[in-house]
Amino acid sequence: MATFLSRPGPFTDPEYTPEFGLESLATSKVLVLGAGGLGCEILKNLVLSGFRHIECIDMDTIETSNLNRQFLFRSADVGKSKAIVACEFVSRRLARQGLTVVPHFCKIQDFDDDFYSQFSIIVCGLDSIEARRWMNEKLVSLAATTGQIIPWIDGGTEGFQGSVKLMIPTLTACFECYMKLVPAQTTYPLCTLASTPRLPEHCIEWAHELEWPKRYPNMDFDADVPQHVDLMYQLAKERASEFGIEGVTKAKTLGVVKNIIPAIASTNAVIAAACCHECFKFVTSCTENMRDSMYYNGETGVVCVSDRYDKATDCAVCASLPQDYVIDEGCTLAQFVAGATQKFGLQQPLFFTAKGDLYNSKKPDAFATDIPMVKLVPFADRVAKTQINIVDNSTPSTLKLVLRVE
Amino acid sequence: MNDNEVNSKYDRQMRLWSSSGQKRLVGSRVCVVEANAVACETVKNLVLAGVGQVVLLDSERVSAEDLATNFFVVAEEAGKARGECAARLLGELNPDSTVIHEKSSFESLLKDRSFWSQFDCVVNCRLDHCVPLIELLWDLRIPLLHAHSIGLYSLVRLYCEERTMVETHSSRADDLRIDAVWDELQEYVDSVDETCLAEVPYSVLLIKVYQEFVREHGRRPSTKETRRRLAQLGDDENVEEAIKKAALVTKRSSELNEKLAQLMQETVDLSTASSFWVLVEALKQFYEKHGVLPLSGSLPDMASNTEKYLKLQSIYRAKHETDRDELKGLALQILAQHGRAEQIAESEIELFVKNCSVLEVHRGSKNVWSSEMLSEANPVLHNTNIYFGFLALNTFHKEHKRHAAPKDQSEVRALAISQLCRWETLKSFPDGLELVLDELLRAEGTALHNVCALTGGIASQEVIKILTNQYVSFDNCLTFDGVRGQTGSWKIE
Repeated sequence: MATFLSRPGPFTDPEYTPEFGLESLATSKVLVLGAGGLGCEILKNLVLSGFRHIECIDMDTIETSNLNRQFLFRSADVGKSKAIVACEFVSRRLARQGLTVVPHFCKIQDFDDDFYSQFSIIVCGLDSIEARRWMNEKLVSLAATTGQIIPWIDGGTEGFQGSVKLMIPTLTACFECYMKLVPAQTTYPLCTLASTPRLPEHCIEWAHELEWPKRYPNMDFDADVPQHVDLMYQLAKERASEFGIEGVTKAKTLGVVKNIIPAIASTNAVIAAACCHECFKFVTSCTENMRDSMYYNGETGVVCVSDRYDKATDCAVCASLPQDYVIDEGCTLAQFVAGATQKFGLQQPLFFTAKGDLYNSKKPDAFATDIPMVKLVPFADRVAKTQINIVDNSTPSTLKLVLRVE
Repeated sequence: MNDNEVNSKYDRQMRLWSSSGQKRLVGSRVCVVEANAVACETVKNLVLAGVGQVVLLDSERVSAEDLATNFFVVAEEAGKARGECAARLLGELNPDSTVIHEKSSFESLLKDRSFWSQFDCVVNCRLDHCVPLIELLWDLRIPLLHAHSIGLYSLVRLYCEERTMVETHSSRADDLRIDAVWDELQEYVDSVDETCLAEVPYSVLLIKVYQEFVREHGRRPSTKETRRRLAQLGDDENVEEAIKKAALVTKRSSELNEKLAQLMQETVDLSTASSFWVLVEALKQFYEKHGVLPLSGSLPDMASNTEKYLKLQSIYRAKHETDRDELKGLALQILAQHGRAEQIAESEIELFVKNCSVLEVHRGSKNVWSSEMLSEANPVLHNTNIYFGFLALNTFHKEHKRHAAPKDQSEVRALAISQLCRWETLKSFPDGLELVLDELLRAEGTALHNVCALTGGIASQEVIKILTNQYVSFDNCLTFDGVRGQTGSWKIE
């Protein structure tokens, strides 16, 4: 790594210096989200990439079924905190000068803006979509309100497939922009479960959704309690034999009620390595980064491609953020409207603030357009205190502008 | 997967390759040459997956470079046997697997056939692809992977004479036989009348519409014509499903996909061929006789009442069993005709019939190079440049006994040109090759851990596909470009 960073390559930014690369590695603070299948790999990879300040959050404890890929854990660790065991393991194995790897055995939601603000970059190996959406909103709003942009790299796997997203809040597509690519979870119509089951899955879901609450009204089902899984399996099996349906097994029962996603060490290794590689490139500037997102599939041959991904124009998180808009001191309403119309390709825009309409292109005569903007909108320290909203046929969302005089 | 295995540590992976695949992993023995970062990352993933035994062939000592890139060496053992340290730390990952260090020198073992014959697969992680090793393992019919990484680039290559894959896990359109109904199915379709139309699976509706149309018009209906007719049946859920799936009426059950048609054309010596090829011959005879393939027997879920669905399912299953038994009879006959006494396991025939429309065969090559690779028509030219860069660096390393550095730029370029000329393919210096060579020289033979981990991930995945004989291998060369974050894969003939 030292040899590699000691000189630029043909695809390196001309301004690169080896001192910059090494210095950034030594001083950047990296946050790792998740210490599971991806997280174990990520921790190992970051330390071996030369990072020295690493923290890791994971709320889970170690289970037996983790051991086939979460290689920092042994059977004696079952029941302990993933974050603590993983961080201790890499610190011990890769002991080197100045290395600190700090675990946090809790939820990502337990931390506030001040905590997240201390990191230069985040590498994320969480398995929950909801947690990633929370993190995304946090990072986008941090960028929009304080101007601090913390890039993050998200990895995800399912069986032989995986993906990596490189996201720079407010500048590139955010996690929410990708949500339309996430397939909906399989659900079965209630009437199928209730009266016309055909598959073993129908029998299991019937037991899970309909029969359990009836049969055991005072006992909430917990998929981590083996006796509960046994009871659920019995219910599903009875249902199946009543209808003559074959194929209800305990493995299938568990798969359905826990919504188990198949996982293998090799895919986790590929995806975690790709995440950390992009993190290493981003921090050191040793070469260019991949495009926005990478897709991996190892089922048939090996497919690994990276591609651009545009921001979603209707993204609920990042599309509705106010943008900076610079005007001259003497800019009139007419000049502002003409400028904005041209810049955003507007057709018949309506401009308004919280106080009311500023300009409506359908009723141009109703507004005095020669008044300077600084008189129409309250300013403090050359920045408008009220944002201007624009609605137009050319975009589904509302454009929000914050004026700045320069 | 039986119930004892639920919640076991292999649960998450057995959902992909089931207990049969896991059993093969447990019973396998793999040799990995050189205990560098790519090798150890590969072994890590194999041991975690439960591969029975891994032999790590290495005679190096733990160096500063190892400590910087490899998770499976420790500073306290600097200067000591690298393979021993790595084997111990890798072995700790899974008590079900054994990792053994073999300290004999690689060169001394190159002529020892009995050493190599004990393995199901070999992974060579040196820079040198090593022609004698390729030749030896080719002869022994042992699949060989070559995997190596320098700086931002890596390569993975498979040398294997023939791979015949049955459990490819390829998704395919359901084989419902709308246009090729057999007696039992016809009887069932005829028993469905106006009174119970709303209760039957959509395939029955499609068959009815198809047959009615053929009777009236003497030809098969188009998707549009089928939809129009279906729309008159009301708006029950099964009718809606049928409308969505109406295009199935245009699928000809007699049509073979291109790959399979090609496969059936192959001539093999049936007196020695593997059971796979005996079954392909049986499949060919079955198809010539019936004009359709044996039925896979699986039925997708369709809106229907339980009884009607299960009845239909049993009709498809029964037909599948009849077809399978017929295929088995044909296979046994072929074996007998060629004076072969062996049997083919029931389970193998069952899998073959279930997957007979998605079989895959790869024929490998021992060639390190093929002349088409640098043609302008090559869609992965950039990735073949990377591969070629590795070949040039290997030649340099062999000549100078050290890794090429940026100061060797002109020599490495000259070497690349002369090497290309030897293969008589050079019209002009390939586009972009100089940049790739420069990027490789920058690292001076050193590796970046992340690129090694990614490469080890891919290599181990391919070893697992070979050992379980499930899913479809890559065919047969790929490089990873760590600048763009992509692999490109192509076949060397």
